[in-house]
Amino acid sequence: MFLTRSEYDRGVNTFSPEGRLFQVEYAIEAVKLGSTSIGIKTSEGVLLAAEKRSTSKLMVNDAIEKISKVDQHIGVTFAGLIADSRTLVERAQIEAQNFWFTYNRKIRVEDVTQSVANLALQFGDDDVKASMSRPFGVAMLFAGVDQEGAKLFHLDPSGTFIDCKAKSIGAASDGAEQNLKEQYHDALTIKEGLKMALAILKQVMEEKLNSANVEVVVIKPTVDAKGRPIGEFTRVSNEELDQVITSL
Amino acid sequence: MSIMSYTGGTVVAMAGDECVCIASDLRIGEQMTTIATDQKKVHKVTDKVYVGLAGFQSDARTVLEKIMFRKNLYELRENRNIKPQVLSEMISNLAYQHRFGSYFTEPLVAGLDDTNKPYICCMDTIGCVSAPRDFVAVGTGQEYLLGVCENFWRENMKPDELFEATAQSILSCLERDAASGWGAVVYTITKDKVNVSTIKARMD
Amino acid sequence: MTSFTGITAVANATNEMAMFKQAMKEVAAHPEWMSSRQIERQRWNPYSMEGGSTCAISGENFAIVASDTRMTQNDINILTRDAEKIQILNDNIILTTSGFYGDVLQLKKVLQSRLHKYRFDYRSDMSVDLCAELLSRNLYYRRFFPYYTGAILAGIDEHGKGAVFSYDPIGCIERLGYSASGAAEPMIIPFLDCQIGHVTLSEGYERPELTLDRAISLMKDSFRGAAEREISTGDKIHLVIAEAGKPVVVKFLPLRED
Repeated sequence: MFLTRSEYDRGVNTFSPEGRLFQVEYAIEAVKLGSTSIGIKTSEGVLLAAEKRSTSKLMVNDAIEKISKVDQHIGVTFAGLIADSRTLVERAQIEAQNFWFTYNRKIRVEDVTQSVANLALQFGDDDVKASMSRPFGVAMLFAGVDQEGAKLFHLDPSGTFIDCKAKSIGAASDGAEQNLKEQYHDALTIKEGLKMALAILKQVMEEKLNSANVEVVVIKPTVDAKGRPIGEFTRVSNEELDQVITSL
Repeated sequence: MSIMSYTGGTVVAMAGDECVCIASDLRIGEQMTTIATDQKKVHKVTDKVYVGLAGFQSDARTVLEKIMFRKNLYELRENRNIKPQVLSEMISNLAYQHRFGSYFTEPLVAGLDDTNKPYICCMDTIGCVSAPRDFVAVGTGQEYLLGVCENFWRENMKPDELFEATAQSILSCLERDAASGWGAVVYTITKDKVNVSTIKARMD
Repeated sequence: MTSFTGITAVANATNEMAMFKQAMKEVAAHPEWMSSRQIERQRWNPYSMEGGSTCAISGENFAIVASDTRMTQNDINILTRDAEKIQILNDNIILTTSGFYGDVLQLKKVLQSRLHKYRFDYRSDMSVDLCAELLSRNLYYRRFFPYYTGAILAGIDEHGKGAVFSYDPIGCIERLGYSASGAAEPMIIPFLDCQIGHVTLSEGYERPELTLDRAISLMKDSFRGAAEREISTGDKIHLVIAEAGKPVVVKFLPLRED
């Protein structure tokens, strides 16, 4: 062996002798630099909560969007390189609209996650075929309610996606997930879920939790014009957040 | 739009056992506009012979008058009732005389002859007669009628069965033909009487 | 006054000359013997019609689809007596198309490939509801060079009920209980209106239930009547029966061959 091990992290398409793709693993590490996000599936829908970390007090906190709307019934939150997430969110939005346009039906959460996962793997140093020269440095949580009910999917930079009941990504994901494991049960209501998410965020955030540095989205089940089950994406207002935060 | 479907209208006739049925819709229009809703396209020629005139109704009226003229002359000269076979031949001649400037109407004859044998026939605008033993249809709803009649017609139907088959056929036709409608009138001709019934269909 | 009329006369003469020249020019450009109909005839027509009829009936838990197997040219020549106008796309989706046979085949291929891709993309078989919308889209994509076809999509929907979707050539979609398309459409439709839609029955009369057996027998009657009167329909009935929870059954029944 004449090459040092670290040299295997130069190309994105070169395995190390141990069978690892270092660039992908580094991308997964990049996620841990991002602010914390939590997703919880409850018996009454699914919710996403995200920390908005301001690096300077001169920054306008309202301008940061940590949870994006993919479609009427699907939301996504992300951690890592936010700029990278824009590409992926846009893919998700296009895919959702495209499905609706073609089939006159809302896309399933799993299918939108799958299509973003496909994009996440399309990296390489090939100028022509690849759309990205390196792995995307973001992890995402897709939450939504489709005809099969509430769904929560975790997607990491390797393109792997997992169906979850509750999940956390970002800087404090380890601690938050430990808490989720202890507190989660299947009979959770939205209200309890919201309280749980904010309590965990409060615990793991470096800053003091307030309605300005947290963003919460709830997706509740409803029915469309044809009576089919679907979700409704709603952002939780600052007043409601304040109420919950003060009760913590 | 062809002149044949300018005013709209449909006529159908069916033959049974010693009886015939002839029916028409009641609409008259100017293309998409309905002008009147009581325009019968079936006319009595003798007690047991009726003629239906579909197509352009202005021509139909003229043709009817010409038919009556010739039929009256025939009866005066011959001093006997005209048979449906003779009448159809007469109309055919009349139509063919206008071979190169024809009346835009398709005549249909239905009746019983001396022996009460049913006779039905239809012809094109220039008098080419077709006299099948089962049923005939002319007008804007012809295709619709032929499909339904094909399934409803049976050999040797009695007057009430024949009426039912004819009425069901024309009602089904009026359901789909926008140029005909506003109810139908059905004449059931038997050896001793003619039954006239006006039936409601889709009134639009 | 005289001088005035003189001027007018000269003006008229020059004007007439100009008009005459213009008329000559127009006649040279568009000779009269080339009437609009003849000009029309010279133009190549990308479409043809191979005749034939198709029909579909849906019931509570079944859908049946039928078409004849004749293919004609100019409504006179029989090209084949075994043309297939029904495509079983999967266990729940049956497509039947009449009209321009080239487009019939193309439409079938397009839908087959889309269904194939759907299986990979979404890891399940497409339902007839989704396929119906997809077909509508695909037809409308060709808004200005349409598939010259009357398509009917039938099958078992997501709730296990029979479904029939009817289309015009550019994708206008309607879900119906029964539908027919093709050359004998005007003959079949009023009959089914009467027998299944009961449009001619007064209120208060008993309406017979539409069982599978009754639907099949109505279907046979429809085609028998159509084959009797419509020359491009005949030879055989290709009958496809889809029942909820059962495999699709295909049958061929005899029909007039003349």
